[in-house]
Amino acid sequence: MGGEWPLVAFTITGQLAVGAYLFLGVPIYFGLADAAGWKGGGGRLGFLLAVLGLLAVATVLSLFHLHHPVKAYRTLVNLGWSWLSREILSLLFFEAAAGALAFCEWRGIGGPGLGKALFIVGGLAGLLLLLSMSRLYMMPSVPTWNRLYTPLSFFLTSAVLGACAAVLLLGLPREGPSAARPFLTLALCGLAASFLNAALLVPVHGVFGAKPRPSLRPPGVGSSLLHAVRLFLLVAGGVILAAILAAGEGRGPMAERVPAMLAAVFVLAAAGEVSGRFLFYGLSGRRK
Amino acid sequence: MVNQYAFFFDASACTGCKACQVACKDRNNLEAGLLWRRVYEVAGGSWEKRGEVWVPAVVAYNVSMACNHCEKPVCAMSCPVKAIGKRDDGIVLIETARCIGCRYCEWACPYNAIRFDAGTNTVSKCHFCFDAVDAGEAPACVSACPMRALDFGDLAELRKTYGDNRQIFPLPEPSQAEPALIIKPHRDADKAAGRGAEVANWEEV
Repeated sequence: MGGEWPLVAFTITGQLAVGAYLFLGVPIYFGLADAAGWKGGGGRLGFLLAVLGLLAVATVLSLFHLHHPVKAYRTLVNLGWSWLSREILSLLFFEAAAGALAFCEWRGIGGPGLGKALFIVGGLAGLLLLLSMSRLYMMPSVPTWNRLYTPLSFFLTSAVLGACAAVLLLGLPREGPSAARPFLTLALCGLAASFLNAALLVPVHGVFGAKPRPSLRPPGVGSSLLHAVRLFLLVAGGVILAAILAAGEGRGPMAERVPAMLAAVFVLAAAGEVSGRFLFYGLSGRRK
Repeated sequence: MVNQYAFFFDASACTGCKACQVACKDRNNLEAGLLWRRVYEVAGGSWEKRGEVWVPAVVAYNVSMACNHCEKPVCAMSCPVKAIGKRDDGIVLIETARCIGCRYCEWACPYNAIRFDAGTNTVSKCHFCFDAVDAGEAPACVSACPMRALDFGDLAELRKTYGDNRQIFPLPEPSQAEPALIIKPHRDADKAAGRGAEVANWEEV
């Protein structure tokens, strides 16, 4: 199970990049970031460089699961059949769109219209990346993965981590009206949905010894401890987020502690998703 | 002319001696732990009360399985670098030089037939002893079976001789990949699922 760490790292980082791009980009490119109360973070270029950095890390991590990474350039030759080829293509599209958008912002090329258009193209490529990542694992030969849990889990990871990263990086206003509530609420809903997805769907996927039959696939090695840890981390993140919402979204006496609390929410959510992803791969392990 | 080479396996004759497995390893010089043909021991069941008498209600049989050179080779479809191809006679081969070692085909194969070769850092599998077959000989596993539980030939011809059953517990639904495989089931095979049978030798296969 631990041997699949490159795939765990690649999928989580890639999904975080797509989520951060959408959750940070929508308020920035559709005017919400300038609404009263938002600090605006490090600006458009900073946000795009952060996403590009995540994508670069994801791309490098993806090479670690190959035993012949120098031949990786060939992975686009089976676009007609292989979801892995399509995954790599959509990753490249996403990187190209985000890179083009960052270049335009840096050089001041084009107006808001071009920026919005490029952002939308990048967003669609990002969604295609999530779709191809999900479809890649939805094989009839692996009944454990060929279920609703796989796409739900991948899209929710993106939504939860993206929303948490957006709130963390954009920051909350210490005074005055806040436009942050929808994003905090979205992050909380994402955590709740991820918890429900894990709690309701994982047990039938073999975590408690159930094995889809008939099959020549060896029993999974997923540990039920990972499942419990994941649920605990998601609940802990959700409780902190709910406390921030209940206490006025960073205004008042809690203001000093809110950045650290938001960082804690992100770390807990990320750790929960990593734990869930190790379990995901463990349920249908490959031989060493 | 052969359109699709296929294996025939007689589960009612197989004694689980694993001569096929060993012959394959020997002929292809496979490293320890690497098996292109495997013999799964299927076992299950318990005591059953019939009237006032307790009788054993068990199942125990063997399934010898290699690559089934499927008519719809899902391993090849999943390969991002097209390292897996199908010859005109239906034999599915891996082009090792093209393989990048991503190992997705291992997940895609419903028969768990594709194995990682740590020596070459690529995937590997049964190649139907294609060089022997091209020379008019039989695959090593077929030649080695003392019970004649294995046979090979053109799928259409095998169907005429043995029928068209491709399913025995715990093999997956054949529609997933359309395996070039004909099976004569063991007499207890249809009771296996109901009696909670399972592969009993995972550590070997």
